[in-house]
Amino acid sequence: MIVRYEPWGAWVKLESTAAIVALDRDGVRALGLDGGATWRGPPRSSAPLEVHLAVTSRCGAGCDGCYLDARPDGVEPPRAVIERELDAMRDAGVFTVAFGGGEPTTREDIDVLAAGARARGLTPVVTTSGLGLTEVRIDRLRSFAQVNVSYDGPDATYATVRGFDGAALAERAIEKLARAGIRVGVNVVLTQQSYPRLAETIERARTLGACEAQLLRYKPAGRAATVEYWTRRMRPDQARTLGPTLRALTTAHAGGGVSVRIDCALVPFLSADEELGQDAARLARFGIFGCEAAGALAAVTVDGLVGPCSFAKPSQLRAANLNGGYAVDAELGRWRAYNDAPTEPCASCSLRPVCKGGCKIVASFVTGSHGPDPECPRVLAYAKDRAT
Amino acid sequence: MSDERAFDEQSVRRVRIGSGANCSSIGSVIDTLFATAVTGASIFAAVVAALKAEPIQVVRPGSNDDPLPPPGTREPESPA
Repeated sequence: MIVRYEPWGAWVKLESTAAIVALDRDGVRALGLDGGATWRGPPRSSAPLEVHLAVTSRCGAGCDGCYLDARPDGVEPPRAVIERELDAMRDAGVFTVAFGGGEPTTREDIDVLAAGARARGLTPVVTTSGLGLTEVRIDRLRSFAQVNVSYDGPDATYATVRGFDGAALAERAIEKLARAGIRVGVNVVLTQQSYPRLAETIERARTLGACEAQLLRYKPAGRAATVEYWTRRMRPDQARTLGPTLRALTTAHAGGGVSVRIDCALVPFLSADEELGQDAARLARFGIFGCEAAGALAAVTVDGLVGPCSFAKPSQLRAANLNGGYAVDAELGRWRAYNDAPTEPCASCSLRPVCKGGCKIVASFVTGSHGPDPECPRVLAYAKDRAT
Repeated sequence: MSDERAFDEQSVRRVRIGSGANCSSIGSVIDTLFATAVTGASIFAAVVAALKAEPIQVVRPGSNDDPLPPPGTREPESPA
């Protein structure tokens, strides 16, 4: 296990089981350890647990809603540059590095970079469109703990999200990865078009060999930051049903089916759930993360700059200076400061300790301010009350 | 070494299962939220067993002479 001291105890990454655990100080002492200066010095902001690393901005898929606005003529940072960034992540105590882009599998050295991440104690994972995933390219992915294929739904549903008919290619990629013995999951972007077919999408992914489905809220960044956003985002009536939908999915896949994950931006939708919306402690205990931008999560752009998350404008901090620089960068600190003390109605919300105010990318696009998530059911109800 | 770790399960404040593999936003497994109490307890029991058995490596990010905390620094005693 890898132990990283925190002011309240330590984060621990286990090796025998894929899990990250928060231990209080007594638990750390039970391991025969002491947090030393981290426990007795002034509290300081911790490094991210997970970094999303753009290893290229090159991609030929041309998805309508690409948050990076990746293009076929995108840039690919030299391997040495990325290796220095991996060094900095190791030194900062990062646990997981998620390779993305652009299409990361177009890099011929992706296997070397993944092995390099492992050698530094990082858990490497990667997301791919699955397009052009030849046997050679699949073989380069064996050092990754998991490979996720973007798969928003079968047949026409995929095209409603990405703007082209790539469902069959993605399905083929999932099958080939599973057959190669690589742990494979799917990323499912939830839009008002894809959400109604979610159960069918996940069942289809299961039959192809996927073991996990990562549900993602559609976010207005990159090519998705247009008026089209309003016709694609989940409708309020759909958002309110997320809790029951998740319950049904996990029941359907209990005992060997697909494991289901939600992303940080979907957590505010749980405020509408009668059971979960009142139980932040339960969400916290099972490690649910809401907006962890500039906290447990950071992103590194192809230009080597650290951002609060992949969708946000990066700070001026260079990834090579992550260790030390992360805690003191003013822009990253601004994000953390808001998440630690969001305004109403988030301030009085029972989910606030986990949700942390919802998605600031959505808020900035929809309202023009770094504030409460305007699509959160509770925020919508609050606004309606104030208007009457 | 495992016998020397008298570990109280109450010290496990949070458990995040799985590695995930998304590169754009941070994900969390939600199966456990809806699991039975027995399943939930078995997850924590497995974690405690691993904590008692695995060899330990400590990472020490930053340095002891870091400046005073900037805006957004969290208070101690609550996991991030």
